[in-house]
Amino acid sequence: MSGDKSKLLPLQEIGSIAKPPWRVKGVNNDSRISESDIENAELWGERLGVKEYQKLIDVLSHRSQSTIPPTDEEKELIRDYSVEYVLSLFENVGLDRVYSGEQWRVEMYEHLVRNIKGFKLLGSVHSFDYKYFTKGAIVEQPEFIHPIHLEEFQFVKSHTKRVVKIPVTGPYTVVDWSFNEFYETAARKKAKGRRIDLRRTYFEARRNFIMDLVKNALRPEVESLIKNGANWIQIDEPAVTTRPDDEEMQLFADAINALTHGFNGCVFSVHNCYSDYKLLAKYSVELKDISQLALEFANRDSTDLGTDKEFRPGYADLKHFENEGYEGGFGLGVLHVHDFSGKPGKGATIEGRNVLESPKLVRDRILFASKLLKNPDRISVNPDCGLRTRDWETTFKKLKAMAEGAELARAKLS
Amino acid sequence: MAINVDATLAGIHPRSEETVKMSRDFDRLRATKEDLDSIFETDGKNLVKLQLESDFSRVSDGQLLWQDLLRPFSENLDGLQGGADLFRWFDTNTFFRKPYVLKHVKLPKKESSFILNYEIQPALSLAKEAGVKKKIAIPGPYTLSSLVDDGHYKKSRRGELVNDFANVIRKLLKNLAALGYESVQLNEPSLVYRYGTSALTNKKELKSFIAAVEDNLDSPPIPLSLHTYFGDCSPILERLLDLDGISEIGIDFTQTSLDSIEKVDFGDKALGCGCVDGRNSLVETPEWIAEYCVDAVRTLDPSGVVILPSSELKYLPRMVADEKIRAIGKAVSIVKRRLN
Repeated sequence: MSGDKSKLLPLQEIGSIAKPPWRVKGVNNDSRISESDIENAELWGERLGVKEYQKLIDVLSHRSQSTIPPTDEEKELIRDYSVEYVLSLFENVGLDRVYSGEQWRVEMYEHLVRNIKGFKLLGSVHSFDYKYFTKGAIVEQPEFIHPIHLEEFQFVKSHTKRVVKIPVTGPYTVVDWSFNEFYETAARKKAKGRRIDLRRTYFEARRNFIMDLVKNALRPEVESLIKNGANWIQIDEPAVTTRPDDEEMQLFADAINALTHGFNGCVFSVHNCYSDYKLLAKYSVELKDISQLALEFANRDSTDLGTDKEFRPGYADLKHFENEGYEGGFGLGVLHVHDFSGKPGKGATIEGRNVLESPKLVRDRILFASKLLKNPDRISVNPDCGLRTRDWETTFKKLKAMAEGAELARAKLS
Repeated sequence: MAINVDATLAGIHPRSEETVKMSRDFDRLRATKEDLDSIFETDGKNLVKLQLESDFSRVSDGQLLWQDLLRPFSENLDGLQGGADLFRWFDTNTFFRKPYVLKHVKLPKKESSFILNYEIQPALSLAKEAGVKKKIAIPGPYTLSSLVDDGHYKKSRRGELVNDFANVIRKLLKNLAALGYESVQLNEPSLVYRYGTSALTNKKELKSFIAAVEDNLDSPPIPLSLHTYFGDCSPILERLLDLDGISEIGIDFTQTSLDSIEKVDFGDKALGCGCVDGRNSLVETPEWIAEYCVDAVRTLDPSGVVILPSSELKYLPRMVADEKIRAIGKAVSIVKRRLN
């Protein structure tokens, strides 16, 4: 089900949007706002019709002259405006389900674990080349100490009339991206005196970690959001299928079910990308309360026009879910979100390192998926993943093409 | 008879937080190449000093300049083109650039000492002055052949690709000997990787790996160790122990249970005892490491034992990885006491 019965092929955002330069520098004690940052804020404020954006310009202008660090009030105002800019961007292009572009968050992992008791951030880990990420360890039992996303949700809700869909980083991903000290220590203690099988110990410790994380921290978080009016929560699980075996996938399904069980009046969806969909499909039927799987497909598709399977190899993976008997909805990724290499087909153009899908390409992707699923009501339309690696101009063009492509598809389907 | 007990790293070490910051700045054009080189030099020297203080007998510069295990090869071998696309490095949350095979793979004549460009020489000089062995970990022929995007050999000639990589390593070993290396470790995660295709699941591939090593690395000029990790080596361990040119087999004990290999005869081979988890920040105590190693030695009866992490430590923050080095160093003396 789509969760929004009023419109065929509803449009939704899926994750983070690049933080504008004035947002990054404006809250950093060591950075200075430049003239071009102010111009950027003016340009997009005007173009998107952001209400009272002049207030932001005034603060940024003041910051550009100041040698003292920004006050907390200035930081909050800048952060809040970045959310309003994102909401205006989404509304301008016509999205039906929106959020903040995660402007309030440092990043999807760090923001969450910083706010759950029991985690300790240990330092930088190499990702590739000169890129790194901050990784934490669970060092005591996880515990919910205060709502993590509530304030952000309430701010978004009070600034839009569209459906608000809140992304929450899922338990499997948090556990997979964290070191497990607390539960591993406990498991080793249990084995004291016996020869230890580290592989078994590791998995047992992982299961205990994930189930405690759900029970003690993530369920209270979800509960607080729902109590305060949240009716759509997207559980982000990019790490799923990284370890492609049945034991790990069952752990994922068990954790999701434990997280979503028993909440009424809230739609839950799961977002996953760059993944093994054959394996995910096998477990999709076990996700009892999940109404939608929002997945990346454009990345694995061609950029040629056409609605036959030879032109739409990326969307053929939908058949795995059909074969397994999954009856829920899909958030259909129709926009590639990373750098594009190679020659584009007739359905797209290249600008720098970006591929720009044409509305017709988006249309054909949707029509092919509709044909395969035999029911367009099961489809919502979104980018493959967050567009945070694209600049705002590219993001705007891509989302606009997505909206126009969906409109073309609606015309064909109705 | 007394058994030799050594300690070493298993490959690429994490960069210090200072190097992380500087390399980020360099990447964003906020620092110069000189700044970056200088911080890498300090970082490498500190790491060598730490290994010396911890009584490591085979010392490396942590291969801190290596962006991934394949990079020096993809950037220098004839027939390979450095890839732009990023791929996940096994089941870790780190990535590598997959090289593309354009044509017959071989060691370039002009750039045969290319490893020199990836060394932190002032750091390695400290090892030389201290009189310890200079060590390097390189990808083994099977792992190299598994991780390239092959546009030349194709599936039917996969054995030839493995053999050509083994031939590259055979020639490279001479250059490494000339550069002063006294210990070379072949890292072979692909042989045993627990997910997907590996030599565990494909007998033909195992056979081609064995043949490639036998044909090319039977009498290496430098002692060769072979480290298996990210999977359970028990199904193929006996075949690996038959390889004459390999003097030491490393086992990732976070993936292989000691029980499952207790009947295996190590013969004249040494054991690389990878019981220190290279992927979890929980720092094992020296006593725990020693206890595990002593049990492994008494069970497997190898000719010697080298204590090392289960995998490269690059998956950890530097501070934690350094703690693991210290713990291994302390474990060495306990193991020596208990075994000899």
